[in-house]
Amino acid sequence: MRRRLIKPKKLKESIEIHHQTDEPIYADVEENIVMLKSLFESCADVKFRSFKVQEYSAYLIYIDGLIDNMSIQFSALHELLSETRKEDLNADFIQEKIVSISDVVEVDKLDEIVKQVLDGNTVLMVDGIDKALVLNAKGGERRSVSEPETETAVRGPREGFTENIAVNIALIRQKIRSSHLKLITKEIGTETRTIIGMMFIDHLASPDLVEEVEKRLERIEIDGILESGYIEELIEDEPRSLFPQIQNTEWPDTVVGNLLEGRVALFVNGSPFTLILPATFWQFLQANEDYYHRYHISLFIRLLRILMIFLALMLPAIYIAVTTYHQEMIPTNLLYSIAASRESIPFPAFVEAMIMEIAFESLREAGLRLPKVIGQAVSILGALVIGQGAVEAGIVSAPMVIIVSLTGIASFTIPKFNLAITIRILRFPLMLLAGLFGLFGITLGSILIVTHVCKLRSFGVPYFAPIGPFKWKELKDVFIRAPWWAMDKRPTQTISENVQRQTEHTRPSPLNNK
Amino acid sequence: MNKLGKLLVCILCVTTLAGCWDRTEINDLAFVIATGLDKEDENHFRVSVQVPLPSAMGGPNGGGGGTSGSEPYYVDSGFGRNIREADDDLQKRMSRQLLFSHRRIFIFGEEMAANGIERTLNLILEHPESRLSTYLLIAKGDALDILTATPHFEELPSEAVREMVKTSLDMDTRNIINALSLPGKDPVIPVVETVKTRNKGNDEREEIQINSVAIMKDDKLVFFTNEEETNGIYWLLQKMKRRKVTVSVEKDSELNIEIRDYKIAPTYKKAHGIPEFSIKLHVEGILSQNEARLDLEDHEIYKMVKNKFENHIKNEIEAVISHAQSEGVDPYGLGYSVYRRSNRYWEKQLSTQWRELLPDIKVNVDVEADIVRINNKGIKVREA
Repeated sequence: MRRRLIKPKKLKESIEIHHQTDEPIYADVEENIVMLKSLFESCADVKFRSFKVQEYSAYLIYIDGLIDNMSIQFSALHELLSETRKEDLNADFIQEKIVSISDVVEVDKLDEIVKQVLDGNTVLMVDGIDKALVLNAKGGERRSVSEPETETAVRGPREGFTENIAVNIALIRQKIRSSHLKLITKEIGTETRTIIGMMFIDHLASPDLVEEVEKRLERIEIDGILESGYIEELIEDEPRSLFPQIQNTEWPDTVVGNLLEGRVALFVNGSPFTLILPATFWQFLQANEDYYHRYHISLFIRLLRILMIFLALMLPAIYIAVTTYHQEMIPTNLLYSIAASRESIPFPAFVEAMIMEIAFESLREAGLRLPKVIGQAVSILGALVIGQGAVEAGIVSAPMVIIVSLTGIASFTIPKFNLAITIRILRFPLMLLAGLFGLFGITLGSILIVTHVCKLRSFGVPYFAPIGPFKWKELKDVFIRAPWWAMDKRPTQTISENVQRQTEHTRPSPLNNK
Repeated sequence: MNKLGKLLVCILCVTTLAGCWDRTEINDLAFVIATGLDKEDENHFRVSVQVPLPSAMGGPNGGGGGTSGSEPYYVDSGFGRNIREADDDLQKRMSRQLLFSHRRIFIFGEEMAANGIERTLNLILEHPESRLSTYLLIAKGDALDILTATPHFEELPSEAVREMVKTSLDMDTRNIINALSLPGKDPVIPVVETVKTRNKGNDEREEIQINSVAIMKDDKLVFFTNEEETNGIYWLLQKMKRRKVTVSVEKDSELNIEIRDYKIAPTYKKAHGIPEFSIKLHVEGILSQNEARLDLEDHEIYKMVKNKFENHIKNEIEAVISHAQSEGVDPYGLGYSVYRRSNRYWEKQLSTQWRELLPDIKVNVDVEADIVRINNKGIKVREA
């Protein structure tokens, strides 16, 4: 049924990749420069610094702002100008004896030079040598490692990912100091050539999963990847589902925790949001902090979240259903106060709820988009106009305001923003169903949602696991978080071998101190 | 038109044409919280309903003071040949639809109860909005008078009645139906009446009181208990826990005892073809006041007090049992205990003539009462 809504195109249209040149590098440097200059025509930021090494002309080619000027100046330019003798001028000697930059590569294709320059490297060409040296001295301004603003935690490390993939990968490498941590990089995007890093621990992540991820990444042919969201949409299992099937995070420790459970992390250069896959529904209800606090706290908070996600999804719908269809379900004394406050309201409960929910959602969106300075004005408007004003004017009843604000607070308790949005959206069809059919409608809607969620898969892992296919032993890390000494085994959704996480019986006790 | 369109049309048809929408806003409903049923004439009944007025119950603009002097509820009566007809009659004067699912008390008038309540109960049970947790009561006099009374603690009279029933006999529709259907047991129903406050002068206000129990013969009212008999019924039906009794021990001085816990067990043996019953009670009480300043640690004195305490209980129970027996009624369910323990004996010899046998059956009440905690006798003006 659904497939027919949009008919697939018959022919797969592939995009053209423009190979710019396949010329070799000539010994005559001027010839190369002319050709490079034509390739970089109207690229004002590409600099050709010409100088003389003895009597030979030489060039440094780089993009202004992407390189570290100081290290080029002191480790390459300075030494070339002062110490080079005529007979030493060959590629190997320069590489080995003169340039004191750690990462130097030889290239012999013009095309390669273009690529390296665009990557932010500096290319050195000297007359009479038919090779070019790529000096890796990347630099430039970028955001430093700081605390993520979208996910906050009370306890835990404070450093979050940045836009730079090298920094991000280093952050992980600092935490997992093992050669089992593997990184495969790819370039995706014909124009942007965005670097994608795929990270996993080779004896934990299943080879099938790694292979599948690679395969899906290879399928992507697109002009540019600006954010990991592009990748997420291009590789997820069920692109039409409202539910997020890949987790993203700004926390390195979350990534490490997931890598240790056999999942794969995808880094996208230019985005601080790292993808974690496969993801299950319950992962979106967990925060990294859950594992750092003592387990009692985490247990309580996780149960609270389950309750809250239920409220965020159902509360307005239940209120509508109960007040318009099932008045006998409301405790009598509560009914009096609801009836009293609804006495002067001109709208049916459903319309009233819709007005308030839409007002609330737009308030939230407005608060999000506005500059922080004006943001306060929004909250004043919201609290005064919608909260107080609407009730006093008799347009909206006070219980409805309470319901809507409870729902709003409940949806804020969902740790992952993408699931919170799903829940917020699903609330509206449920309200409609409640307005049409009462509790019967809510039941229908919930059945649909649960069936859908149970049907979903994320990279071969059932989305609702370990509830979907029920696994008793996995429940220690779903609704509750068992104490660390009780979590001897890794979750088996993603891992089939090397399941043991720690030696058994690590529970602290005087008896175990022998 | 593609498949999705067809599906949408189907859904639309099913939802809008089926005509099974029962959407009603709260503003369009009148919640009946109490119903009174009186017999006016032969096959002519008065049904009175009490409905709270939401606008007077403290909405956002009301403030809930009730300053205007008018009550926050509305009482009206409908007449008809049965309950449903009377309800329909009522509806004619109501701008809102009557909703009975929040009914908390159902009051039968005295005359109505004397003529039997079973037919009416059946009608109530038939109604899908009725609840088994509704409290059933019998009014001394007309049921309507209870609905129009103005108790001062609660905003709504029905609320006051409900709270009082809960702490006294606690008999809801389910209990009464059960008692009605059990062989060898008659239901008891709490009795509600309007009284005046006992202040002097013109400061007399109307209040509601639950102080008596209606003893039924099947579904018909036989008599209202007096105070002693009421306590007897409470003892028999296990409602005496946390209640207090006052036992006279000497001239002008009494002991007040709070009942902490007690067990009651009927036994019987056959004698001359009819059973002879013995009801055993084991009572534990806490001394709450010792006006006579008796030294209860003294064995002899304690024995005397214990004896008086036991006799007090025994008298209360015997009062109600003998009164009920003389009327051929079995509120405690003596017959039911036989029915349960030797069913064949009950079916063959007793069931048909139980009512005739009852006045002649001997019932012994055997009370074993203890005072398990005494109070501090040091707290006195002068030490004992």
